[in-house]
Amino acid sequence: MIKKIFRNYILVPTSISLLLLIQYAYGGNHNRSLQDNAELLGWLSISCGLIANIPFILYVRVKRLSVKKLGGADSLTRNLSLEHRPIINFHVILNLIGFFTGIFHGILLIRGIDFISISLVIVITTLTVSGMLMRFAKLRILNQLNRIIHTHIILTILLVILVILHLSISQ
Amino acid sequence: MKFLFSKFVVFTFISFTIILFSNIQFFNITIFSQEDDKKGFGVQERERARIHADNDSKVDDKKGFGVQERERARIHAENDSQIFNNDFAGLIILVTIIVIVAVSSYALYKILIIRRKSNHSKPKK
Repeated sequence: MIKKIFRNYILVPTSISLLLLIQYAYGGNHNRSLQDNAELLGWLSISCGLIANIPFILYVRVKRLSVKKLGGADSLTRNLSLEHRPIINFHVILNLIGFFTGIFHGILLIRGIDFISISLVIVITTLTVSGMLMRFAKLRILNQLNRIIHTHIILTILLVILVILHLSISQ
Repeated sequence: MKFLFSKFVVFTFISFTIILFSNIQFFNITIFSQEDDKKGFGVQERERARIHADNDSKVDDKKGFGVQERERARIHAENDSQIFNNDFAGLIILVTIIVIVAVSSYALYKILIIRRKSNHSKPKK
């Protein structure tokens, strides 16, 4: 039983951290604690996004560079390839946690919705859905289609701009 | 991955359910009990909120809510309505939709080209 829990080294801490957020829901001043809770979820979502994506992008770049410069037979390239599956699992799980916390943050603060937040929701949902389909769809054509959408630089730039705008407006 | 994913779904589902249920009380207070017609978020509602807050801060303080909170609400509503009035903010949603449609059509086009090329390269029987 304990071994099983330790095996899920990513799931357990993240789920417990989510459960720990409940304490922010209790407090004397209702409006204030709700506001704090929602804001915290927003920051949690951004942190998950940063932790899940920046190392992943760096890993992909380094892997591509090593294939180009050192070739596929080199030990470094092979080691990097072996790391691919755990890194992609980490990327998927953390991004999903970020997505759900972001959605929950949006539900809590739905009355303050604006065009930038709606745009952010559209972009994040598109990227998440395409990512999930890319990861789990069995049809090859669907896989290729979602790979192009998910890895497109314009969507990434748009996401970063929208997050910055969202932060600057909500401050 | 399958094993990990199912566990992940269960854990997040439980976490979110608990957080959601513990927040229902606040939903009652802040969202549902305000006798709101909920027709159209947007500029109209914000403008109405601004006018209400403006009038309230002039007329009464109702001991507890007080002038400060109403003033804060008024400033928030004013800022929000400014954001809504800003053309840039309105344009951004349009740009987002255009970008997503463009990227999707580009992806479809690329897939079409790949399929056409692979069909051409197949040996004819």
